[in-house]
Amino acid sequence: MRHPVHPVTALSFVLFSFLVALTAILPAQIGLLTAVGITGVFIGEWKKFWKRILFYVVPLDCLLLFVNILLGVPSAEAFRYAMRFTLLVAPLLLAVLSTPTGRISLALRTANVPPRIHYLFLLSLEMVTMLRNQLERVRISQQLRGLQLGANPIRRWISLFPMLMPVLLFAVSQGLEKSMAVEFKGLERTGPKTYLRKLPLAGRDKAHLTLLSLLSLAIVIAWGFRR
Amino acid sequence: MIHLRDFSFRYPASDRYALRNVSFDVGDREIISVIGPSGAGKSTLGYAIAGLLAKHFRGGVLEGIVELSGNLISADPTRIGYVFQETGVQLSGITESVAEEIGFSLEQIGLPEGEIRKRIDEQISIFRLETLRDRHPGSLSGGESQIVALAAEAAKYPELFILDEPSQALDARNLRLLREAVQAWRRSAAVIIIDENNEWLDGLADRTLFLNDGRQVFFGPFQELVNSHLDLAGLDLPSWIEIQRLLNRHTVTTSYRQSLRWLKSFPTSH
Amino acid sequence: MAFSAVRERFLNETKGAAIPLIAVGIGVNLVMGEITSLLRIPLYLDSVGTVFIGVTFGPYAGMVCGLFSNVAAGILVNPPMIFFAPVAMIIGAFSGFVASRGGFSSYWKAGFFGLLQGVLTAFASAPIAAFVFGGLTMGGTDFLVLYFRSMGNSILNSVFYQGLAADPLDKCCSYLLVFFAIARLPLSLRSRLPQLVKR
Repeated sequence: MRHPVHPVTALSFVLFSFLVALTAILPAQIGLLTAVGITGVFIGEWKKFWKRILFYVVPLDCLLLFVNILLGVPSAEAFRYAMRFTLLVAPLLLAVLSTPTGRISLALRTANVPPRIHYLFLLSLEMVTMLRNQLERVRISQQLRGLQLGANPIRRWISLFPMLMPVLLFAVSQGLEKSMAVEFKGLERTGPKTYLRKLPLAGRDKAHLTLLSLLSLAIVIAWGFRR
Repeated sequence: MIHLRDFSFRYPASDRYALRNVSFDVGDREIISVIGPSGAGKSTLGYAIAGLLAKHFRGGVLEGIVELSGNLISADPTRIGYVFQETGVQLSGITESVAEEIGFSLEQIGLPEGEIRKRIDEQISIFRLETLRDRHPGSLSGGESQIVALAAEAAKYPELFILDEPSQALDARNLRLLREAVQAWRRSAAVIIIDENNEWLDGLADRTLFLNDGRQVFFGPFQELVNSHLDLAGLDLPSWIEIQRLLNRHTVTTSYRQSLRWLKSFPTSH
Repeated sequence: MAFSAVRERFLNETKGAAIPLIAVGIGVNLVMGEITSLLRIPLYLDSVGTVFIGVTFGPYAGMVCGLFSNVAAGILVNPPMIFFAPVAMIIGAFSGFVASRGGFSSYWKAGFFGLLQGVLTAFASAPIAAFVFGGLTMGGTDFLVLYFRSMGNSILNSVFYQGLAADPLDKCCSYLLVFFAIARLPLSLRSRLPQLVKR
């Protein structure tokens, strides 16, 4: 998407979709799913989005419908389960795939989230990549030493510890060294921080947020009337 | 500036002291090199001076005094610039460009925006990082990461630099840059360089601390250490000293200055 | 008074120097999923990192590790994982609490509390799985949900029973793995982990 939305807008959209799923007002649900479908065509990661929809959301929807009808659940209720799952997962997929981590980081800074939380969030993503690489190295070296991944189940269970331990050792020693290095980064400094790059809400984000607030209000009122 | 008196430390899980009765003082604008074979306690000394031991090795036995400008030492990011041995842990790991990495600590300290930008530009120019400015720190080579780590610490304008094996990943060009930077830092800071490679430290440090098996063997000018009868086996000494010692062993008596003159008479391209 | 004590302990367990280790726990959680699929072991074991942090840093650090693990898994692996963040937080808190009361002093205690953790996890994750997924997650244990539902149980109860059948074993293995991993950590590293220094 040429103008990606602000992470706060994306989060608000996810919360709004939860509200729609919870209140189960059919026109709102159909409207929301249509909006998600249209937006899903324009995001940068559209291929990934539709792949997950087609190979994860749709099959699970079908499974839910099939199983519930098989178990004698009224079809309307089975449809409601499937609809709720779609409404909770599809907008979340859309929000996650259309919000680059860098923008989440900037939004967290702008919102003055405590630096340690901001740091943890980004470092954990970095750590996953690092440990995946380390796991690959461990796998190769353990296989060279005779570990058989395709062996019988007992051998595979026994292999669990030799695979985990080198990764854990590496991770803990790296983490401990980094915890000393972090002391000199000023994370624990109290007082205001200065961030060179920030991500304030743009005009269209404010418009989106206003629209979402109004729609949420309308849905809550409609839900109240229905009850 | 730094006052270390009868300092000893034993790691929590160890039955031997990593440092024993180390005492020395470092002046305000002094460059100190810490040398010694592997396992001599050099990095532990770095941790001690930076105030990391009490906090990060809590079960350890710590005796003696370490003071920075008259106060008990603490890991203060505004006063101390620490470059760790392993660059993988040194960089913040969360920035998206080299420029951002250099400014990371400055943002956390809360300096004014203009000042941060000025310091980033300054360090980029000092360490010739112009071509790497917008590169992701994760994509840098070991040597490049090391230089960025040095630039990031220098940008804080600390009053004390502690560099643990800074030459490890650096090529000749970057070592020359680091040498120039250290000479510039001494105008306003003390610098402690822990390194096994003494070639690049030659003529840079005012005094040298020689550690062996956790004990302080020597503290004074490097020249005196070389002329002393101490056993320097296991140290990676500058090549001219190795030649001098070799000549002395074969009863060709020279002073190190004579050796230096002799070496300098060779064309540099050789 | 109580709130300020809790706040102080929370801030102490999650201070800047602890952040890289909590990130390690998160990384281990996500990598465990890859190890189990590599070895084709029919368990998740995706809370090993959370339990490790709970045991070595305390319950609040464990909670934070659990929360961010599921956020990271949501971003990097599968977004619906975010829904189970509260369950991961419970795992971190419980393991930290148990460890501070001596629950990791022997392997049989660790195994027992792992089983107990499994029951708690089944209890906490059932409403989420029932509400969000309608009880089915396309996982290997879906047939158990179907079986319990065909016996006339509600979705919530069926998911809970399925959880009771699968989670205790998974968590027991996770706890034992952490117990043996800590025992095998070199003393030089173990002595630098705050909760292990105290013991």
